[in-house]
Amino acid sequence: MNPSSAHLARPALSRRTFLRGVGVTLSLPFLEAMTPIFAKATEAAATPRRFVAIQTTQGIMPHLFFPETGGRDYQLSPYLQQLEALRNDFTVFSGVSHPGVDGGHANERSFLTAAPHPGGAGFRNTVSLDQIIAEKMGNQTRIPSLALRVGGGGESSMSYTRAGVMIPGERSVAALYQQLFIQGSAQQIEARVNDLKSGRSLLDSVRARATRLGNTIGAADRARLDQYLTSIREFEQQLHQAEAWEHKPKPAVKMPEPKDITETAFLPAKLRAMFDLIRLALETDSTRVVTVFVEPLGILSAIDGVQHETHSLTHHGNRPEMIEELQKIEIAQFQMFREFLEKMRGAGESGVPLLDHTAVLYGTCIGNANGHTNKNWPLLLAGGGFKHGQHLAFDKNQNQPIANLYVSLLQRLGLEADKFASSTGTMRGLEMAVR
Amino acid sequence: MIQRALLAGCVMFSIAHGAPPAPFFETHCTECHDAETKKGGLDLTSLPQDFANAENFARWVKVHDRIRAGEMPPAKKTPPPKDERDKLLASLSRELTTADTLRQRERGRVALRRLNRSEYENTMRDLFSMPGLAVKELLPEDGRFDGFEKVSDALELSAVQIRKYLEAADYVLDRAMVHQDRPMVYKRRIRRVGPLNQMGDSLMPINDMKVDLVRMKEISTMRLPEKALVFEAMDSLGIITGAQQSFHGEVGEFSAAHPGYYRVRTSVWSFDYQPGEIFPAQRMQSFALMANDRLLARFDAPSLKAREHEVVVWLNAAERLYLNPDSLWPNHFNPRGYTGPCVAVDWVDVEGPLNETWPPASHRRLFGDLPIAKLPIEKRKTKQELAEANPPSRPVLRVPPPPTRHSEAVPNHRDSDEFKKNQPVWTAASPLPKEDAGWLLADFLPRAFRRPVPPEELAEYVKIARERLAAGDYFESAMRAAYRVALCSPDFLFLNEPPASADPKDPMTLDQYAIAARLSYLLWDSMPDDELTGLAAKRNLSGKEIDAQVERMLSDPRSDRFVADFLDQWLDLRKIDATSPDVGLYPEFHTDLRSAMLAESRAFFREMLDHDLGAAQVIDSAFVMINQRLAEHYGIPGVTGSAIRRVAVPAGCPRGGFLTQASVLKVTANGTTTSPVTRGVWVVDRVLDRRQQPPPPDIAAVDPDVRGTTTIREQLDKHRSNQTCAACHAKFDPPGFALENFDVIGSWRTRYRHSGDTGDFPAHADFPGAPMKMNFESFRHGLPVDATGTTSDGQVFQDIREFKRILLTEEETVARNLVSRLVLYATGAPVSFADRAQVERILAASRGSKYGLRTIIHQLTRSPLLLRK
Repeated sequence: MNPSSAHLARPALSRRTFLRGVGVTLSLPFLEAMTPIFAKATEAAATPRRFVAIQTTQGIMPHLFFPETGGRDYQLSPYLQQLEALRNDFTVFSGVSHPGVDGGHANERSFLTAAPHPGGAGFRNTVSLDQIIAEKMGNQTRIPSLALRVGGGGESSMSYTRAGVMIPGERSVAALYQQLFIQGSAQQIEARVNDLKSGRSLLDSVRARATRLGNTIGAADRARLDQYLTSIREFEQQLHQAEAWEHKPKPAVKMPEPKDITETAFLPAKLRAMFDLIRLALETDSTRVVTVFVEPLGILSAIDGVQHETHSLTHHGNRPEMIEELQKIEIAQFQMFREFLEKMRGAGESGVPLLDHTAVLYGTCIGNANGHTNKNWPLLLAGGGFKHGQHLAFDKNQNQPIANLYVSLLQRLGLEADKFASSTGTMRGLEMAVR
Repeated sequence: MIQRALLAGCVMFSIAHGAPPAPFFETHCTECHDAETKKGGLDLTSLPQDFANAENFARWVKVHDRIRAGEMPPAKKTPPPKDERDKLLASLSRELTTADTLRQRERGRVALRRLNRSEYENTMRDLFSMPGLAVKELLPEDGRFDGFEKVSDALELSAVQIRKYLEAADYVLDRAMVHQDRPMVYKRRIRRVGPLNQMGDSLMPINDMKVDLVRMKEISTMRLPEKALVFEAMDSLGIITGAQQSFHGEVGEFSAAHPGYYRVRTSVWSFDYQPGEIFPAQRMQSFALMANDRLLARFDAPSLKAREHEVVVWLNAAERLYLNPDSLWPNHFNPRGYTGPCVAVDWVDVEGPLNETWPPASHRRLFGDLPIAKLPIEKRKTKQELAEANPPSRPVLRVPPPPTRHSEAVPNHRDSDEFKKNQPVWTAASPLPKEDAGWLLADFLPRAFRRPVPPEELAEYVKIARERLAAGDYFESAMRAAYRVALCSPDFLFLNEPPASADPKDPMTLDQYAIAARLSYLLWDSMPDDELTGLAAKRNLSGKEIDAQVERMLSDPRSDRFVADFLDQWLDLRKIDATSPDVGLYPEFHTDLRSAMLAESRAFFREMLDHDLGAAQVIDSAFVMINQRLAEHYGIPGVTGSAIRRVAVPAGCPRGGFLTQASVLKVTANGTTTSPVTRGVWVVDRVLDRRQQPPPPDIAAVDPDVRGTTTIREQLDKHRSNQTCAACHAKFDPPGFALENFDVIGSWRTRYRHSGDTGDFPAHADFPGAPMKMNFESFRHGLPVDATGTTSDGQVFQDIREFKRILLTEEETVARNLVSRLVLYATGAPVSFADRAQVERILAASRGSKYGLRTIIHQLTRSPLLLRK
């Protein structure tokens, strides 16, 4: 972060409305996305299943997170005590990580992809778990998936397309609210639809041009151009879907339109605002797939007793006073997470708590930020229809691949999957619950 | 063992012409690298000699390289006789080169490459003559290879990019077109720098060279509007704080109502303050002139005597100006008790936009010399009219007006929101829209696509505009539709590099326009200008003319982009802000030091370019490029002012070269601690081009500790005693050890700073310019630094000075690394096996200049690597 930039509000960028309508994120392969747009919503189970992944990038101090013993009767660690009331709604893991995924902070890119050596020279990312889920289920909701971010500057998210391109993260709750719940006047809808149409006609033109260009270039060039053509086609499907949704009424919600918090120091408040909106998006079935990239680095948190910028705190060098400050920040984050889970448990459809059908993954890819290690991730899974209330402890030296958990998640979502990246099976010890 | 003998007989290498000696592998390799043992995952007995397969090819290259480097067979085995080894390498190398050359002849070295975001931004800036245009951040980040964002294969594309390209094209077109008559020029003398509520605290009115303390007391109880009047009435404004998050020195309420060039003049000086009294300053201070977070210029403030500065800078719409005295230490204490350095601002004059013509150049790029005219105000539409499908689209104002919060910035300005609300929209007026569409696009498309556009291609775009005109669109909207397609088309987004097809013997020679683009994207990170395109049209881009163009391009300010961009990627300088130095351990780190760090490295590379300095300068140089702040940081006396200049390295000073520059030392550390491993791997990779494998997965990492009881070397020694670790660490730890004398912000240290309670506190005198009352007890000096070491080939060094001398013996390796990185940067593909001969040719040709940087660039731009696809 540029130290001088933190306080300066950038001029608002005018965003085109039709692009707004497309959704904050998505990368759908065109085939599945094109199958009847609304039909499936009714076919699918009465209560759809959903997925939320939250990654906090600065690490979570391991000695305050991991319980000392495994099993069902484990003792809550200081951090997990924040979630005491939800004890039977989550499973905490230890001894898990992505094998072969190293490189300190670079690792955050592989959180949902498991692509090896993200710090390496020739690193290329692969598709993230949420995008795989969105490919299968995204066509059933207005927004196929949301890639969100909370914290410092930048555009990073943890969602990656099939080509390994990062989907820029949305940080504005106000913009999201607009997109999800504000219908606008007939005139505005018309304008958006027209914009979508003009976007599609533009794509027609550039496709025609690319096709002609393709006839004049060699095979190696054509392979790169094909990627362009494929991307055009995918985006066209997205516009098409967005247009169809444009005519459907948006859900009415009680929550008033939120204002964006621009002050970087208020991380907890920003988290709460984002979590509230996510809950609302899930509750109204506006989307079923959400990732939240939380970046507290570069922020001097406005929390009592915190005097240092968060990144420098994570490199605490074992100084107790720094550890104490960092603990305050991490506890504040856990408190916001608890609120989120509690509200998710309170909300629901047809008598089933929202949390029971929403798998919420929470963790960090940094086992110990002080040493920047990438093994033994602090990680927990809440809700989503699993038998929780336990600590699944694996070998600290021979970690269990997290990709196994991803396979379990895919299966629980009702998607056919027996493999994800480095997986060796499903997550041992994690069983599905009845509902 | 019979089985082994049989397998060895199957080594598939012996089949090709030249018959490489298969027995070599049998004798020296297959004991470990057979199907059974398969050491390092390599089974030479079954590795197919199918060089067309990229994976096999890469494995054979690795086999070749490891044998050549003498790493294989390993030292504990009997070394192969030299002639056998040479013979094998020669034949293997021949085979690999042949296969690679064949591939290049068929497919070229580089596939169609899309612009990366920085090229995209610069191209838009140059295309529309809007040098401050910021679109990079609108696009998703680019894939990298080896730290570079220039590699075709790594620049992937997804639907998310297409969406962003559409957004970005609209964003640019919104800003390029104007919708009003010539704006009035804003011209004002501003006396307020910093927030109103600070007046009477850290901001002090100065009259007759005195701070009036009685008046100060009054001010502190005034309401804001009254304070505003005090600003207007004073001689000068004294400022006692800077370089901290909360003080930025906003220049009044000014924000640019229009994009364009603005003239900024100011008069500033400095002094030492004791309550009420002004004394000569002990140290030259300086201001950073910023537009939001862009650094525009630095202004020195000499003691007591005001200095006037004037710059003409580009401002984007709604950007604010800041005059931040960031050479001052932050002052967290009650300002009234402050004694120490201060700065003063007499006034700031702002004038602009300085449009020579109206409409501006960006608009004329799209609408030529067509006049702009008022659009009639349309009456509100009826519901029925709205219900009609596809109403003709009318130009609308899309650019956000200046933030209303600052609307008082232009009190009498006719562009204020209130004024604008009732104004008609102005738009390009075309008497003959169909014809105008034709010639406007004929002018625009070749520029945007960086090549001539054949009539049938032009016709496609003209058709788009004419169809929209026929549907009833206004001229501007119709043209916009065509421009939008152009800016999202593959012709704009990709660097299409077709072979010239002139020479059947060398089918991959690039077309002249592609050569022009290669040169401009190398040296300007952007599109070619008219001169380059003109030469391409005359087919003159070859030989001496390329040399002349390179000379011209390097002397153009646009080449600063090459310097900054190349260093950002080669030396990781883009990570300069990735970590913030711990404020307790490094209280002297402020934004002025940060920006000087970057400026130093860029100026150093520029000096190498300008004076054709050799590759050895990367390791060590007899001069440094520094300003006052860096001179203080490095302990070099006699440098005053914020301008970077060339200064001879004093005897005994360890600086010189890139390795000991604060920027490099910062990006290779975190905000708290340094790691010899991180820095060592970085040096070996970035400077010597030796890639290191990631650590094995089950290694316990070192847990950094700054409590003062242990050093990183003690911690590492435990780690190194492990045999499996020792082999690799022996290669990269030594450079890291040698750099241990430099802390996370690149200052020299003989003892580690720590936060424990042993050792002594630093002295106030160690921090030039610190306020009098500031005490430095947030860290102590602890255990001594040990920067000694032994290189992997047994050379002992005592510190960085001796280590540099050892490293200097590898001058050619350093030069080869530099050439390889430049090849990748310039062409979009890394050096492949067949390219190595070309790299050697460039090296041989620049040996006479001791591998001078300018010579290397010239050799590269005349090399087939650049001139062929």
